[in-house]
Amino acid sequence: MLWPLAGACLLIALLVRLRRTYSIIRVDGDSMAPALLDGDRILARRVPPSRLRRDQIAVVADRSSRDAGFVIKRIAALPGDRVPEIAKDVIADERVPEGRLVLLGDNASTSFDSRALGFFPISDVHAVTVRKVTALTPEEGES
Amino acid sequence: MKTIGMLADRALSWVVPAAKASAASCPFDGYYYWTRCYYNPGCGSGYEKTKRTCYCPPNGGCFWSKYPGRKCC
Repeated sequence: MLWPLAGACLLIALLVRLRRTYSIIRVDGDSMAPALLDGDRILARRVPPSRLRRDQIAVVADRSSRDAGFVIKRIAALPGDRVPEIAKDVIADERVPEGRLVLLGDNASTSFDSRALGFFPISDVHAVTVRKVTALTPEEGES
Repeated sequence: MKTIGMLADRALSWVVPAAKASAASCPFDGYYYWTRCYYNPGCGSGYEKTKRTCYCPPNGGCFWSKYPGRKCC
């Protein structure tokens, strides 16, 4: 009698953990092409700032727009790293200060990123991408 | 194997919350910003800055025009 209850509790705990740790993100736009295309869905995992690595693709809270969504960009430099030359349009610092990140889109000709917005706060990182998730139907790609 | 992967992804989609993230292109036609000041001995101050403007042609796809304007700082 207790086993089914324990199993159900375990399943619920697993679901809660999954929902807290992972999210599915739909990519909107082409600034991460060719790695991620418009409409791609990706599995993203929440990680503490200490586990962020250069070249990871990060999902970051978007402070530049009013709809309080997310932007998805590649981590180009972490605290203490040299600021990449390409990002020095608006950043005068030689090194990335503590608590900040340089984020760049892969598609440099269109991306709206640290080249225009400067540093992003590391605390705004919501998750990093794990892998693409297949869209089973065209409708799912749209949702 | 591919079917199993797709089923796993479908199960994941039911369980895991979904959100949308903008792989933002330049935001809208006409948006612009000025870069910081770069060394240019041709300027009296020794520095110049350049303007980056977002163009969105009617056939779609916005892009940054890199050097539509420059001036001494």
